[in-house]
Amino acid sequence: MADNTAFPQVDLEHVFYPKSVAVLGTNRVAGTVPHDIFANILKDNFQGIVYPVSPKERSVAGVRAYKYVVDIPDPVDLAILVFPSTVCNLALEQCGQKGVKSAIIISAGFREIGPAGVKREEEIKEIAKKYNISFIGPNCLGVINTDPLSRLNASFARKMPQEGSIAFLSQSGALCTAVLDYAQAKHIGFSKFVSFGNKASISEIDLMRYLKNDPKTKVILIYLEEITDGAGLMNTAREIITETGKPVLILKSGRTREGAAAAASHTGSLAGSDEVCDAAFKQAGIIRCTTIEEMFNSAIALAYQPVPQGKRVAIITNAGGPGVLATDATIAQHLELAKFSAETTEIYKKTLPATANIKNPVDVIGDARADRYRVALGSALADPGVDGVFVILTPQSMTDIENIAREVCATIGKYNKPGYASFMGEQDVAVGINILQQQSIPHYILPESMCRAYASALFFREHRDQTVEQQTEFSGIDKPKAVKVIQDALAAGRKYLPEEESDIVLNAFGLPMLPSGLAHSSDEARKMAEDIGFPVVMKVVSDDIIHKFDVKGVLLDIRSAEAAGDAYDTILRNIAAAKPDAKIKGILIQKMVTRGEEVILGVKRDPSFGAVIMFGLGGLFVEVFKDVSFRVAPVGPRAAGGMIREIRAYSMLAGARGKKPRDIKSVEEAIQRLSLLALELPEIKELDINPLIVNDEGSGCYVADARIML
Amino acid sequence: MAYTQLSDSQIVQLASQGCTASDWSGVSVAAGCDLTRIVRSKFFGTVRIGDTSGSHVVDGVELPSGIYDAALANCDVGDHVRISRIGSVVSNYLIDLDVLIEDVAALVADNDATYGNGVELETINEGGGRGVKIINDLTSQTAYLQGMMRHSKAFNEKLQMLIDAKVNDSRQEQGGVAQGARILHCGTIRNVNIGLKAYVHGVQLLENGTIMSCAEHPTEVGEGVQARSFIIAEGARVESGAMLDKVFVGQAVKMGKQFSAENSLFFANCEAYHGEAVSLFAGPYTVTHHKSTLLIAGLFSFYNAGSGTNQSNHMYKLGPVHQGVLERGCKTGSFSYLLFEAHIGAFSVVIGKHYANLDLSNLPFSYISEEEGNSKIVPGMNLVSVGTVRDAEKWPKRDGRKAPDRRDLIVFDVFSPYTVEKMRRGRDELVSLSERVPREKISVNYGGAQLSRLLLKKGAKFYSLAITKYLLGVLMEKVKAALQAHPEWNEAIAALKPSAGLHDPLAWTDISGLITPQERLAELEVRLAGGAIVSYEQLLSECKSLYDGYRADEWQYIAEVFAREYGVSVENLTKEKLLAAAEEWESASLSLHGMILDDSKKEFGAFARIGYGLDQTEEGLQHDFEAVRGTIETNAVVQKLVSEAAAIKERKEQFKSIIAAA
Amino acid sequence: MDKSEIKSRVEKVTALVLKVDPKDISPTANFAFDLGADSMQSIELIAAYEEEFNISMDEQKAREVQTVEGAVEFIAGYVK
Repeated sequence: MADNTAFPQVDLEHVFYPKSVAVLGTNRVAGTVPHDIFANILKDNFQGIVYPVSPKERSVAGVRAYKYVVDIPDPVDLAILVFPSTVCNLALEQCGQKGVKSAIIISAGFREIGPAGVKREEEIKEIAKKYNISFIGPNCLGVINTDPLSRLNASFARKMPQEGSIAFLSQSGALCTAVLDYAQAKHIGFSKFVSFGNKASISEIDLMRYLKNDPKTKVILIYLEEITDGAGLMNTAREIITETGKPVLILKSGRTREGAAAAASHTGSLAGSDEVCDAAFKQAGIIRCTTIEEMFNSAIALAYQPVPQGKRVAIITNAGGPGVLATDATIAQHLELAKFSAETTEIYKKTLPATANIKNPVDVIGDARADRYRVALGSALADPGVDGVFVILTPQSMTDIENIAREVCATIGKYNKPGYASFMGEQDVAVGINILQQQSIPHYILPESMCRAYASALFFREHRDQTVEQQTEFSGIDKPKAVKVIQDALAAGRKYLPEEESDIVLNAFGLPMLPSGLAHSSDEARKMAEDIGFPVVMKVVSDDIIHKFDVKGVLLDIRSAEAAGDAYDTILRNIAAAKPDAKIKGILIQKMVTRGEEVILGVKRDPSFGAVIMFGLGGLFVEVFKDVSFRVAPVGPRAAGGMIREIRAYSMLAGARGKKPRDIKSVEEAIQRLSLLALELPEIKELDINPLIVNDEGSGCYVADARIML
Repeated sequence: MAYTQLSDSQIVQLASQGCTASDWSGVSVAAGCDLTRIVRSKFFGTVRIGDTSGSHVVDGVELPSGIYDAALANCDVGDHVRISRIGSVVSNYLIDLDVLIEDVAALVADNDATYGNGVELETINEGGGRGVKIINDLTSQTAYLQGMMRHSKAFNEKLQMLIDAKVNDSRQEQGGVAQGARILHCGTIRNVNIGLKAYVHGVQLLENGTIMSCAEHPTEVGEGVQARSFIIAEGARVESGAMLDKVFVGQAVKMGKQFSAENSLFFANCEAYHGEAVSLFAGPYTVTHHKSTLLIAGLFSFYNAGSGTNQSNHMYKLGPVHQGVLERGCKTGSFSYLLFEAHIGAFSVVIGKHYANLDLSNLPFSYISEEEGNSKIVPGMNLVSVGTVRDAEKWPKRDGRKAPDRRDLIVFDVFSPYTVEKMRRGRDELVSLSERVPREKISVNYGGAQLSRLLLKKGAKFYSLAITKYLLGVLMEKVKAALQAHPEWNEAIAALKPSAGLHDPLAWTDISGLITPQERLAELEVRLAGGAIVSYEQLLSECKSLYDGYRADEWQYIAEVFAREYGVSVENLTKEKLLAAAEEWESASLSLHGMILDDSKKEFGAFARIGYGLDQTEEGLQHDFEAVRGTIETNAVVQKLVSEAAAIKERKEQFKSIIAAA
Repeated sequence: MDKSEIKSRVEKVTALVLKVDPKDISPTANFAFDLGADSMQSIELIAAYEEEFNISMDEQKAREVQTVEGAVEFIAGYVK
């Protein structure tokens, strides 16, 4: 995880609003990066002063050049390095001597190329630390600030995007040019645009914190290939969303790095980094997107229109088919078709033709012109039962697209409720779409995208308005006891805690355990079984046996002391046959719980997000259906409840088909305790509680079996 | 199909449903046809209608089969067809089963049309002289043979005869819409054959063409397209306002976003968006994505056009009679310009604007740039570019053709006898120049470009390394395989003797994707001109034989070159020589590899643009991650490169132990 | 050949290829940073040294040399 505490206080003001910029390593060859970066700054009307620094040239593009940055007589706020990576250290050193505090290192040839590059990157980090320089990159495309106060195009994007309220941060330079092209075609503007490359100094988290306070930015979009500080990302996003109301959307690419790394536990194999990422983002209120288009579809909804207050939408369309598609999509996104008030219905009856459909979706019919759209749209927006409106248009021969577009813009603008539009087709409606885009009405080619964007915006509002969850305080935790067990195991060179040791650890954190004991003779077994109370299960305990069922080392439903004694002998015999070399520590006798629901709880360390808690219904549901949910620790009461309710088989716990509801509250508590355990005991790499048996409501739950990997 | 004429009561029924006919006796229906599904329609001439049961899902709603609000003239309509809301008439068409024709202005065929077949495109030379007639089964090879082999009158005449025979075959009295095709919300469609399961929607105008399609890879022609005199092959997607006039669109081609083309050919896997093409012969994998790009009067393949790429084919006001050839694998940078005539060597990169006529075909893998108005060439520079490595990997993976018959024959090898022989020649020329040019000269003029004297030897060295790596690499593979098949040493070595039987194994050519010895092409030419090839199918099968024989021919090339360069023929190889060869191979591979790794650092010298502009493909709805894929692919290649040094060493060790053990 | 001869010839060639004033070439001068060599010129420089001293250098190792004095040392290894 990135250790930003070692780093100087990050100064981004001089990166975005420098009064003077020096481009180090520029030249005169048009079409090359070193030249074009400099030329772009000039061409796009930068409001400050720009100095070319070139070892050979006396001038670049008519501007007097300096051989070294230290030769520049005036102070320099921002240095942009386009020298080959092999000499960036020399350049940065001089920047330090000059007193430059901010830099953008465009050059490639660092960490991304392997060991030689890693060394180079460490070197420049050292130099930056020495002189207290914050820098973006290396290996990036640059930075763009569209604010007229700055108008800085310190990148080699050919054109400065138009000004807007969306900020875009990307780890990939290649994606940036594609995004700029895409956005330009749709008249989408940006406030700040940053390609941050290798993030050796300034990370996306630093940039997010800056954008949090940037008055020009309303929505933050991020493209990430890897997450280095998952917890930092989650916390920063949460902070931004709840304190400033700015939505954060992330497009995360790349296959899971871990791939099919063998894991000894269910949790290990089920908690792929992509699933964890999904859960973590949802927890933090981050909207996760899977394509550029989806990201911008949501972004324009959030940037241009008010956030929806509810899920009741009205659909206005001039053709039946698309209305049906939109309705389907609305339902699929768990939104609702609003029911119009009597007043609205009256207005429709009076003003729309008899053939129009006045129930939601409102079909204003193919010959509708601007006036009909105005009435339909306006009344819907004014209706207190409507939270948002979708306007659909298909070009018919009499459809006056331009006027309708203008009318739609004007009408939506009058109300403080979100309105989105979908003008279907390409050629004929292009002029209308242009008008919508220029007037900041979110436009979508497909009704499905429109609904998805609305649903994202709604999800965002729900998260924004949530208060920060308080973690439950648990008393009676005996951490030292658990730590001792772990230390002993590690000292003995063991990576695996057998059942009785796992039980101690879990017990120390207050997880409910089944009464049990370890027997070393059949007599002891008989006595223990009697003390515990029947029925009991008996399991072999041995460091050499992980899968007990496979070697017939488990016997269930033992109902008498005598049976217990016999079972003891039977188990030993089975082990002797299957695994004669196994060293047996004893036979565990445990109370058998017969009537509860089996659930699985787990802990896994994700390299980006840290401790991850897993929950699922056990047995087949885990093996075959993989019906599980994840949260990143710490998990509070609300999150725990959410985890449980999220799985598809939740109704089994809530009471289905005449079954009584189970003690869900006790599971919520168990999850929270487990979360605390995971955070307090970092030595634990993976943990499975499989199963946790949940009794009927009021009767609690018990850990029936557990595995801990160190 | 048994049709029966209408009974009186049936006629009354239809009339009551708003139908009329010029002569009811011309209308017949299949047994059991549900007449309630023939409504408000008019019939002219002979019309046969099949079973109208079933339905179609249109724009999310289920609509019944049948004939609604349509006029049909001289048509056969198959079972389960829905024809609805026709502007004027569907005339003279055979409509197969399960077809949907909804909201179409007109679908009309003239008697005796050829549906785009036989249209002659003036490709490559806008002023004419390289006409290519298009037919349904056109391949990039047969198009090349038509356009590029103009020296033999007899050849051309015979070839045209074969083509004309195909054109005649395609003559039909009626147009056809094949099974499962869907035609929705279209303008006028005249004299167009529409293939199996094709999806045609929102087109403005289609005239005189064929849309081939198959179940494995349905073709799509979409919104706003205007096309005249065209043929579109299976699996192509032509959409969003593309404008075509005398164009052939090959299999799995993607075209759209107001791309406009005239007199142009596009073969397998080409992509064309936003820009323009005139008299373009786009061999397989030609890609142009950007708005202000023009491709004119040229022969391209495996090519990527940077934004704003441009050429001129006018010179000295003699008219647009000039042409250009960019051999396979070239890329042109943003706003680059080439004055045609020009001939650029394979796998070269062209940056900047070039006002001299360049002839650089003997210097493949070069970097051609512009400095203060002068063209500069760095030979062999592209051999050490990570972009070239990435391309080699990506093309075979990105063959989007799913049709069972993949017509264009494509050899994907970046290093082949064709490119390697060019490098040999280039190397020899560079060495000779370096010996002749006096030290005082900073640069020398070669083919219209300035070549730095200091880089003459370097270029030759790069070529040598690549030649060695290729030659000895294939040799090692061949020997390894021979030893596996014949454990006895002498037998194995004897088995290395080439069997291809070429007289001139060194001369090769690239027939728009198919790499083959010139001799074989010449033989084909003779056979065709002499009348030994009597049908187009036979011609295709002869081309296929060339393709099938590539590896054997390649091996003879390698054996020949090896003998020339090392003085030993492959049948006389000794173990010592092979061990030495392995060492040399390793050394050459590691040198090249090290330099490629260097390049992957994307240094910001003159090369930067390659990494950050040329390979960008604009994303559309489906290509969201194209740009990202570019980064990820490059990163994957870089990762691979990093581990490759070890792999090279291992391969050599493995080979040596095989030899030692033999 | 002794080092001082190598040094003076290296400086001469460097000035010629990079088109800089020989006065600007100090032993510690970094080709890219102080003398403005881009990657194309770096390759030409290597070729020029090879020609001047009639040697053939390891291309990859040669590209790692960053300064004038580094070049002198590197070439010295070849002209023994």
